[in-house]
Amino acid sequence: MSTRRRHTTIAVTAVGAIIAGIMTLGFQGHAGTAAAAEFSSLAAPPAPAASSDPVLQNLEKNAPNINLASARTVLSDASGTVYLTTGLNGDVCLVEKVAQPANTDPMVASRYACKKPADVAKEGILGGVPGSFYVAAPDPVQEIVVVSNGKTSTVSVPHNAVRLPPGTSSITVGTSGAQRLPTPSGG
Amino acid sequence: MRVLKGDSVPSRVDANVPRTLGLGTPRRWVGLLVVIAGVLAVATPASAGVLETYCSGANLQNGWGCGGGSAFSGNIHVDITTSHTGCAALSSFGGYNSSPVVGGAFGGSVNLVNLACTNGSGTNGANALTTSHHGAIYNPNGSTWDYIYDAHISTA
Repeated sequence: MSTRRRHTTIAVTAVGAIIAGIMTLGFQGHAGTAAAAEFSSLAAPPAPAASSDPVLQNLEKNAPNINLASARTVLSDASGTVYLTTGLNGDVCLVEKVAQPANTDPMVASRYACKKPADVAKEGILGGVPGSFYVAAPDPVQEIVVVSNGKTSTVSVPHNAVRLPPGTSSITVGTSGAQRLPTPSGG
Repeated sequence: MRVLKGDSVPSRVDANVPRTLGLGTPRRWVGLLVVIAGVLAVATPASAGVLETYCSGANLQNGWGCGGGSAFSGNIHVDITTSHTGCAALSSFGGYNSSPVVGGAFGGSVNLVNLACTNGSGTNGANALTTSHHGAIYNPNGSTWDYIYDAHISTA
């Protein structure tokens, strides 16, 4: 093999290895930090209803980070059904199919929130909107501190998630500091 | 393939590929470039359906909102990525593309609807059906500015 051809081969191999490395990081994302946020509810069987629901399929199409195939149901009530899932880049995501959307303009059919697993491990992940918030707290958090209408109380977190009481203005998840929640805007 | 006077004929000739690709790039790099292009095409999600990217690459004051310049109707999708707690929203206010920060709570006269919120940094969004709204963001914090990495409204 000539020197020039040998150098070319080495360069091509190096570039290929770099690209492969970039691709690995891109698709596996924060594989090392993903383990920092553990959820026992993710050990449950996946919820096939999520990946086969056309409303959520449409959301997944527009928010490609969401991976409904790994979705587990963590909340289901009159406001909607909330799923916990891992995003394609390693993020932790909450996906909600809104039940009985209000007959107002606009009508919200579905929503999602995603955060890096290291951040979720510290402060949990909040989803929803003012008046209908929910939070997912990682293991081993069993309850969170909630301030609602000026009163402080603890709320249990079964299956890693709970819908917050109306009027909640602040939550404390695990050892994180108190987090003020989004409040309704004026207008 | 036409051999130019003075050129040497390579042992393998591809009639459809020039011997060089400018900058002296040898033919054997073509395959590598094609592979790289293919990899990048797979790795980069398509942004089809984006109606407007708004308020991106800017700071948003605590308690303020930012509305996109154009109104849209029908089935839409909104995404935002922020450095602190933020809410993907829709508003009846718009036309301020040149100045993303448009006033606390839109001056009290604009209807702002939060579609999705999350705590801390992250991404959130929603699918909604609307008759006419602008893509928007609301920074609900009392003291923390948001940096809006990206915000866009697209067809759902």
